[in-house]
Amino acid sequence: MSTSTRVAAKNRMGIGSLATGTYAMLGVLVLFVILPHFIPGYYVGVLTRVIIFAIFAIGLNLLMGYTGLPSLGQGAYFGTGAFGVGVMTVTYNVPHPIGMVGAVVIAGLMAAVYGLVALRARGAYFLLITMALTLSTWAIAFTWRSLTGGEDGFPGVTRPGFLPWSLTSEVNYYYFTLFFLVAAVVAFVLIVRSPFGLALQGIRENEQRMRSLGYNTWLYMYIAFIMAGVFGGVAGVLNAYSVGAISPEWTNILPSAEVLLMVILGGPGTIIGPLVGAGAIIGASEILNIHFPERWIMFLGGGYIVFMLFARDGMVGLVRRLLRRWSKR
Amino acid sequence: MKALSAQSVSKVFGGLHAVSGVTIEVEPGECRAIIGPNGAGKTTLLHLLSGTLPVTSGAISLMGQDVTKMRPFSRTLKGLGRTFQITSLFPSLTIEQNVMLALQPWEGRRYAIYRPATSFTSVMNRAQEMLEEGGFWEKRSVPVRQLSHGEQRQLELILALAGRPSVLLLDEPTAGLSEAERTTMTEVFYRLKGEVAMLLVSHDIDVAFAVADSISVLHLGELLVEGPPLEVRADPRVMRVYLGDEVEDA
Repeated sequence: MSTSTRVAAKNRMGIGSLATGTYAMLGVLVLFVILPHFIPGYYVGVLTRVIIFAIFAIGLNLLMGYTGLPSLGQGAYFGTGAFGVGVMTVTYNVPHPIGMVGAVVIAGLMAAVYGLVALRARGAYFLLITMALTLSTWAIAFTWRSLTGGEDGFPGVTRPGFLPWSLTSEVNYYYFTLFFLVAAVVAFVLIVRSPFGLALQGIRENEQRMRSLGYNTWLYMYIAFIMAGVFGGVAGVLNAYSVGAISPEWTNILPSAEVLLMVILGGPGTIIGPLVGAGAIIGASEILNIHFPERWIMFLGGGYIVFMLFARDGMVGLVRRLLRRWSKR
Repeated sequence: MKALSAQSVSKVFGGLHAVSGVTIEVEPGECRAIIGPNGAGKTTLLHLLSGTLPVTSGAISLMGQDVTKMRPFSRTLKGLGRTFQITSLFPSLTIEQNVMLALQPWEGRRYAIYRPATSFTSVMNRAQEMLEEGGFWEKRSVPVRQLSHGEQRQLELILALAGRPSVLLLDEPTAGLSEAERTTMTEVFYRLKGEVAMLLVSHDIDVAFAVADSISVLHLGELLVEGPPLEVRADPRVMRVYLGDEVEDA
């Protein structure tokens, strides 16, 4: 076997598809970098939300799209990350970098505890348990007024400075979150292409067979669960700074359902899917909230049904299928 | 030392004694077949051996080591390979990825997270060897779900052998195969004899009698007869509970 056949083998192992994916990613990145200079300030804030929810959705995609575990409880880690950084930096005057890292660690620890419970089930039961866990978290956040402010929310979260830049400017804060998105995408690509990531996909396809091949499948799912929680925690921290106040509703089902829909709509098990899904859902919520206020959840539910029935592989899958049909002509 | 030994293992579901006090031993390199009519407890016994179900009583050891309390994946790492009655692969992954998954645990790479899976040359080289040997190299990038049933059964066996197991459990390996595919599969088992101990559970008594060095007949959860194929075939009890039925059915 010569080196050239080996190289050919590697190329055929999906590096070709990686190349197109990389170009698409670089294109998106360039777009994200230049966009704030061409749009009104309000939309920079909207784009910041897209970025934050894309980080959130990337974490869930690891769990749902790659490991096959659909969670309806990611809000627990999102909200915990937010309250973590808020309580530490505002109530206890902890320096921002420590508060940020600490909040993400707390969200990860929470996932480590919740994972022990949720991973006793699979499929729809897993989804229901994660939902129950996020509801319990919401109940705690809602009633623990001295810590979280309860239904009044938690106000007064101020953004830190970052080296010479003040993050109070929307554009500067936008680039700050973009940095985290790039880090999240790089980490995600490394994970899914590694032996560990291949094993996650094996578990999604056939857990029993993975066990008989010598994999401790539970441990893999547990690690993926914690990773998804960490991504959620990072998104929560960024959102707390972005909004400047935290609501206990962030730990509730609605953000959990929104992020789930972002993954489903974007294309579960694809690298760019969560980004597409976050952009589509937040874009749609911007438009629909203007014309049909208070109807947002209805549209969310409708979108979920349409995609489950007609495009289970999401928008990325839909585009791929259309391109394939188009190239055959 | 036996490759695999089950000492009077039992499995009780509620009031049902699915397997009661069965003792089965497989010598290194030996091929033993377990046959028996429907409901004899063959599949349950296989689950006990692989660890999918815990035993109610009895002990199981692998290459002299007690594995009774071990979970399935640990038994695999101790040298127990298996195939499944219903084809059990990773359908949307490519043939090569399927083989890589089977190899990773043996190259100490299964938790690696910092480098692409394809960059581990020890895994990739063995994958290439196995794919070339099995005739799958040319179409290694094809998703497994596009393979024919016979090819899938063949790949299934490649995965089970990837870890060079000392014992291989084969659950109905010829189920649903064409006549030609059955012949190929039987030849493969012949070649494996001596290299790996095999425990073959099969409805297909022709294959069992053709390949096995010894045969154990289960009936209603108990071991009825065991011995070389010719003796078992001639045994009147076996004729009655198993072969007799088959002949009448035919």
